[in-house]
Amino acid sequence: MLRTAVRYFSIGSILRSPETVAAAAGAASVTASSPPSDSGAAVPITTAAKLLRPLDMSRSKRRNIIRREKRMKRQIIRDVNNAKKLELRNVKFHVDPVLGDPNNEFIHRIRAELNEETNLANNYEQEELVKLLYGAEKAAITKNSISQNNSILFNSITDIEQKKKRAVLTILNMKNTNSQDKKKLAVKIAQREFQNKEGDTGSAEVQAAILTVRIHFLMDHIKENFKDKANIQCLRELVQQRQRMLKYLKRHDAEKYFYTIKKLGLTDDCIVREFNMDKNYLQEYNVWEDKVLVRLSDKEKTKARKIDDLKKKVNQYRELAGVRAEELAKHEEQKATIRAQRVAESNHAKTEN
Amino acid sequence: MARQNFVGLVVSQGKMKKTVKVRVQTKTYDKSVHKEVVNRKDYLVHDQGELCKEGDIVRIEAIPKISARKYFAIAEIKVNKGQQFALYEKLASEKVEQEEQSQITKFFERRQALESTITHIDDLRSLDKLAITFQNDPSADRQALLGEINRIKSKYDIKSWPSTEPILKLEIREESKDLSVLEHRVENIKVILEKLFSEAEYNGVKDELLTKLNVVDKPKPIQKNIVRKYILNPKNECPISL
Repeated sequence: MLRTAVRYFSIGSILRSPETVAAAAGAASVTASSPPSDSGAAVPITTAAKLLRPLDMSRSKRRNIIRREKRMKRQIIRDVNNAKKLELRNVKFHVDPVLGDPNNEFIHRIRAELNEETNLANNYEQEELVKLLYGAEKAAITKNSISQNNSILFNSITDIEQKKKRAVLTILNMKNTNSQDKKKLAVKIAQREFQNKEGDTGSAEVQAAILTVRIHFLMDHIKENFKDKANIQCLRELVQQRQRMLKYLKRHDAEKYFYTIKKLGLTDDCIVREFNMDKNYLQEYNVWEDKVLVRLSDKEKTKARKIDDLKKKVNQYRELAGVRAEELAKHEEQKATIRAQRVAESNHAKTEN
Repeated sequence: MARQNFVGLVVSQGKMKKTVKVRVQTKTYDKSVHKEVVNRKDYLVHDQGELCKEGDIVRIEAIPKISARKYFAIAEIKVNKGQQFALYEKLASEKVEQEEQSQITKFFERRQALESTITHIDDLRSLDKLAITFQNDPSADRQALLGEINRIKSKYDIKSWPSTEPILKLEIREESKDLSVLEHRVENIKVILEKLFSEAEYNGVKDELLTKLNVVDKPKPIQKNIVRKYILNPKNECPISL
């Protein structure tokens, strides 16, 4: 009994000290350490297997409890390791591999530029246009130079010219243009932001930026038209093309590559890992809001359910471990007080005798 | 006996503490096909300082076994490509942040430039109107009108109104000006180059231009070509006045 008690205490002390837990996790033999999210508590998950032991307990009962604890501990370690294995099998991308980070500044800025009033449709510059329209007004006035001294005629001419100006600016407003023209402007802005020198349209980072803009525009279209299979295929090809382009850039100029992907809101794994924009992707990232695209077979369903159950089980172990640790601490305290009392009583009895 | 030594590529890092996976390639002679074939083997390698990153090329050395699958340690990092990538990644996020700020300021500058041209044109239009009323309306306050006209004139440095000189800079006009310059230079390019490269009085100008274009130690035909390209750009100044 003494031996088992000593062993229990020694195991408990080893598992409880955080340094030894970390060391054990590093050695890869004990994989059942707590996850990094609640590492502050530093309670090993195997604590869930611990059972309370009253002080006055028969030897056979104690042996039984130890046996149960061991069995439970083995089960926990097995479950945790299996869950880890399954997790490694389908690692998720850090960001959406098609659209990238949703909070990306570059894309937000380009979308804002399309609604900006200073930009005009059909590649017109507003500054030049305003100047030219003023020139037209002056020309109209000098054409009627015979009656230039007539202020009424002057006013009517300027009024007409103002109306013309307003009409031209309305026609050329970005709100009244088509999506193709908007895309052209977006591509132009992207090209200017990434170019190495004036007029650089061909370097890999510029091409990647332009492809990104096109991907975003095409995705907007596809979100509204889920039956447009041809354009879905087109988008798929664009994503692959961008991936290829960025892979090339990584090989040749790594510094520029990391700058480009950061600016476009992508991550390294979106480029390096294999990706195909299939139905699984479209469903997982809710392109058409909860539209079911992939139906699982019965076999696959049971498999998925099993995986879910396993994950739930591991989470339960984690919660239980925390609760058990508190319980055990309390129990130990109680035991200690009872022991102290007993010792005091026995001393008292001795002195009375 | 010397310790076992391999050179390999780090293929996995960060999944285990102080441990990386290193892929080692060895060539062995295959008897059945009578040629050398490449064999690959992945080792778990001890990395005490956690210095390695994915993509590094490292030399590994055998050590006494420290766990079930670990009996190698990192001896040296030969090519630190993975570490460079990690550094670039860090630098990129800083650079992008700075760039975002500069882009926003650029955007507001553009907007301001447009606003200033619009006010410029509005002023010119009001100047027209004032001039007309000054001429036609005898009942108007002539002193006030004159003061207003003079204020606008001095603001944009206009000498007379209505003026015969161009008051606004137009892109089309600039381009046509450039075109005339270009035509003139194309006509005389042979003479310019001949003078620049053969006559002694232009030696100083020539040397200055060559250092500016960074082609001093290149052969003469290449120098000539680059200088030709420089002169045929109308934005640059011609070194010789014709």
